Amino acid sequence: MLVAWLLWIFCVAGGFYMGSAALLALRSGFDAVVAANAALYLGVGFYGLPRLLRLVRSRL
Amino acid sequence: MDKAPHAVEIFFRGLHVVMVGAWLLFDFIVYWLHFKVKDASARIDERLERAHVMHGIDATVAYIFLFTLPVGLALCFLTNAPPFSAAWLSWKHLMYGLVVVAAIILIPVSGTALRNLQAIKAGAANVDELNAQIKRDMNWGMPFVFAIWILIIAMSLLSVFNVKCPHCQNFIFR
Repeated sequence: MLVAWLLWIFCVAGGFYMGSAALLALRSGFDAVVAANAALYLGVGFYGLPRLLRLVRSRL
Repeated sequence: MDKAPHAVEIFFRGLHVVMVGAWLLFDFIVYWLHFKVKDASARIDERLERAHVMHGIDATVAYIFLFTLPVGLALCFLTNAPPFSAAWLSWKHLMYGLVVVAAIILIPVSGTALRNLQAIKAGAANVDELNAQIKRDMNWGMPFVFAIWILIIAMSLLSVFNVKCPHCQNFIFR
C-alpha cells in the first residue's frame, strides 16, 4: 500500500513539477523535446490526480 | 566552489549512480526469477517462494525508481543546471518520463503471479486458467520491461558522456 501511495504522489507531484518546469523552459524558445517533456509529464500528473484523490478519499 | 557543497554534490552524484545501477541489477534478478514463477510444470512451493522473493525485489525497485527523480533534481539544483537547461538533460528527462509511463502500464500485472499462486496453493479449482493468466500477464509485460532496460542504459550513457569536471568544466569521458 505504501508503494501505491508513493507512486501516485510521485506521479502527481513529479508530473506537475517537471511539466511546469518544461512549460517555463518553453517560454524562452520552442524546443520539440522540451515540449514532449511538458506533454508527457503533465499527462502523467493529470492521469495520477484522480487515483491519488481516490486513495486520499479511501482514508477519510 | 568550497569543499562542503562539493562533497554534497559528489554524494548525490554517487547516490544517483548507485540507485540506477541497483535498479537495473534488481530488474535483471526479477527477470531471471520470473521464468520459474511462470513455469506451470514446476512445484507450487518453489514457484510461490520465488514469487515472494520477486515481489519483494520488485517493491525495492519501485522505491529506487521513485526516488531517482528527486535525487536527480537535487543534483540539478546543486550543479546549478535546471532540468531542461541542456539538450541531453531534456532527452534524459523525456526517457525517464517514458519509463514512468511503462511503470504505470506494468502496475496492473505486477501482482497477478503472487495472487494466483497463492490461490493455487489454497486449492483453487481453475489451476490451468490461473497458470495461463500468470504466463499471459508476464509475457504481455515483457516488451515494457525491455523498453525500460533500453531507456535506463541510454540515460546512463547520456549522463556518462556529459558529466563535467566540477573544477575545470571539461567533459570527463569524451
